[in-house]
Amino acid sequence: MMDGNNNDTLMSRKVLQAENISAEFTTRAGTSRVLNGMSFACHRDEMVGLVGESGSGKTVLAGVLVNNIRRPGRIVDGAVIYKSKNLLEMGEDDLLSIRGREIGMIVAKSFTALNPLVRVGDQIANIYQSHFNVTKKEAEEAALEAIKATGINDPVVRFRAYPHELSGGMAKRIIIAAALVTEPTFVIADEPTSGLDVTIQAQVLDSMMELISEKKTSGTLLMTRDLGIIAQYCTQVIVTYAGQVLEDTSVERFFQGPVHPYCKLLLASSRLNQSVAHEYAQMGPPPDKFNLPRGCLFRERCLAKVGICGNEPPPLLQVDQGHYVRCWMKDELI
Amino acid sequence: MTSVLQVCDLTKNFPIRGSNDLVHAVTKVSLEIERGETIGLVGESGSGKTTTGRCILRLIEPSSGSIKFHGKDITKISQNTFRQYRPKMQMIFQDPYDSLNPRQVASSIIEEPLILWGERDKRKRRRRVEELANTVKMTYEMLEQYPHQMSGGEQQRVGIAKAIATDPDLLILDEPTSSLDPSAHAEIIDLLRELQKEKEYSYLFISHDLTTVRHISHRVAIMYLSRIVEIGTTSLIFKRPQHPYSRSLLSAVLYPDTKIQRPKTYKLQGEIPSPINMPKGCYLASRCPMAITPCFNSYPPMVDLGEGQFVACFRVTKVNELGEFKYGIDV
Repeated sequence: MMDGNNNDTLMSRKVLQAENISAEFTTRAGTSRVLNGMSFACHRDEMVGLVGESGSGKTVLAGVLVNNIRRPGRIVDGAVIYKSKNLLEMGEDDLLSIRGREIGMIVAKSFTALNPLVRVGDQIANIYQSHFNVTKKEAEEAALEAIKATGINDPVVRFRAYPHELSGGMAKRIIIAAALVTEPTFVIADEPTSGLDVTIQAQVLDSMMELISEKKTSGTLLMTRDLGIIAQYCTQVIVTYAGQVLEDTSVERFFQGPVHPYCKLLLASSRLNQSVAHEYAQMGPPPDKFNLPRGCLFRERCLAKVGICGNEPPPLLQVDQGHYVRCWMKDELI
Repeated sequence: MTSVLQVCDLTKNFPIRGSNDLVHAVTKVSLEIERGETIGLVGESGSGKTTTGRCILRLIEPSSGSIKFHGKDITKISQNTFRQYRPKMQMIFQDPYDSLNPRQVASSIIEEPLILWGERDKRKRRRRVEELANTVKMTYEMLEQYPHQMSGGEQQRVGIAKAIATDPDLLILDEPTSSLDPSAHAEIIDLLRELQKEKEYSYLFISHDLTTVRHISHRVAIMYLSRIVEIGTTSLIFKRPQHPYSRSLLSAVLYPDTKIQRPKTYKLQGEIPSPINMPKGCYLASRCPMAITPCFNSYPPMVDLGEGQFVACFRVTKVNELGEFKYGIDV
């Protein structure tokens, strides 16, 4: 394990910690286990990228992190530690002062998140006013500042626009302004650029990163399925699969070659490596969340599986300082 | 050897109701596709890629220009006569789920084009459906499933099987993988390449995903605001893009590799102009870091740079003043 000193500095740099989070959704079809003991930590000044394919639990996790899961969803187990308090044990009133104020959320579907009947400037001003004791005018000024800061064209015009008058890229910038107007200490960005063109994507990410670093936000969790974004913008990467963390390491280490068999496949397929894509094609779908298998959840698709994988679920094992892998075969795979 | 498809000066304007203005969706687009060749058509949303694809299949009637399929102009014939060409020109859509009938199982979806094209023998159709399922690597169980029971990648396999049922020569692929997960995405691209190798299909691959385009295309055409601004072999376009817009587009690609540093010097100013009131000169002039007076007065002609690379830019000899383009030459 790490030596005491290192451990200390890491502890003090920890901004948000997720411990063993499990969540499920009960429907007529049965109970779907979406998160299965997810644990990770985000440290000060780190840009943490959380990667997962659709259905891996990213968006549900974003909800759990601010204790905002509605029925039929249920948080079964776990803790979210923020400023040495467990958000999952906090009352709704206390949570209101955290959500949107201390922890900002950049949501994936910008048009769904915006009220179609209210001018976007007013929507942002309302957010500001609900967290700070200010006049309407002051709130509007703060909102306009936030909109300007995103680098949008004609901010004064956009302030008075309704959502349907905005392009996808503009709507994303408005959502970013809404998340950052309260100057949160921690930002969760769920697919901040899905559905945007490459040029707009790069512009939006550049200005988002600039804003986050200027505002001295202490940490960011960026959820995406695009490894290109991770490589170019993040410092730490967490790969999730079927509601679990499979690998957690520095971005540099990851792109030199990940350890977990799933991560190897993911990286190779994002680089469109033919032979690997071919192997992947033979493997079938991820496990049925209504009826999870025993042992390792990736086992059925794994090329490196051995006997133990079918019986014992592997824990997140350390392979190096700050590098964790959920695989029994980790030593053979490095 | 004649090309499978020759598009010349294809133009499509959409009138705006209650006004004399036109939306210029496609302007004087010319390209050729050989047998067994893939052309990647890239550009931002609104640049006219999809309209170009749809005009070629006459799903939208072009305003002017010619489209020759195996040397025969298909813009001058009636839709009825055109029907005989349809089995040879097929389309694969972006969202597989939306393009499949939710009330049909996969086998009936794939069988439908066979019925339409007059195969009356039920057993022969069944045999062909099974053959197609094999080709796109679907299991026989999947043939009896409804689209909602399948994953995105499986749905797209059905879309491909349906499109190749009539053994076409040309496939127009409109963002066929952009709604898929990375693993499914890689599978589908792999399948498309295999099919091409085996059957010598020609592809027009419409996409904004440059990583994929680079991987699958022999040649690439870059569109900006209804026009093709640059066209050339994939390696030349990615190694030495000559149009300022191409450089800006390529520098926005995020490669999944930390060793490749993204250049920050190719940013364009401002927003894309409206496709209604097109500027008189080069459509990029107002945003271009290199624009000079002539750029604002007339649209630049296509310049042949040799080795099959063409670019529409007055400043093409000066483009290297922006510095050499070094980004993602080989991932």
